[in-house]
Amino acid sequence: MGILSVHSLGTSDILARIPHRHPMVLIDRMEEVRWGVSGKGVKCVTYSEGFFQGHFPDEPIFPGVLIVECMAQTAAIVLSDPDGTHSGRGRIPRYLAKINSLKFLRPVRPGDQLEIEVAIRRRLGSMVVVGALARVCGEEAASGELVLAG
Amino acid sequence: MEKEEIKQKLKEMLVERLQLKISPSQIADDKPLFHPPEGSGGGLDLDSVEALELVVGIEATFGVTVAAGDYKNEFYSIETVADFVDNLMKASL
Repeated sequence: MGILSVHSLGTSDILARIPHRHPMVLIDRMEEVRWGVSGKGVKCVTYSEGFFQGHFPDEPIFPGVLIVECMAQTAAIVLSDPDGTHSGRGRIPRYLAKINSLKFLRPVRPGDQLEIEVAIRRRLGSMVVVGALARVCGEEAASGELVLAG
Repeated sequence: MEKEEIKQKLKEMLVERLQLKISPSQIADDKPLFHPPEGSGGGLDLDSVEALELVVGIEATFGVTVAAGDYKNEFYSIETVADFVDNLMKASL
């Protein structure tokens, strides 16, 4: 304990911190993590992901709901135990409680690298309010606020 | 601020922020705001997400800060929330 921030986290470090498993682990890398405060999740979008077969056959678009899930997972990692120990998992909010004013500004396609910045805005009991901004090549793709619950 | 004024502002804030389909005057001072105990009835039947909205609304309306915590007793009714807000405002003077 006592670690306030970390520069970068890879897949194994992410798997040690969140309960998600294949095919629902969406975050490939974490950067600039300030534990319990903020962080940036990186999601590399590739055509070999299964949902592109149907979303859509003539125009592959990364589903907007999965951008929301990327935001929630990035927040879960920021809220996880800095040590990445199994005992810390109980503190992670597992449920999406509310989506506040989320907007989607550009489609996300295979080949795009989504960078999802999250900031923990406040906590009340088991509720956590998270501000999130997703970018592709520096251009805003989606932004808004989520409420997660433990 | 007088307690009656606090109660009135609380009711107006709840109706506006939670988009309740009632007027502020229809909210009783002493009825439970959240899921009422069996048989007591007459409450607003708010949920846990709306509790968060209540906290944000209290801060925006009264200019106070609500610390993280469990406020089950404080958030029982308009009467108890008004006492809670009154104490926060006095503490911040």
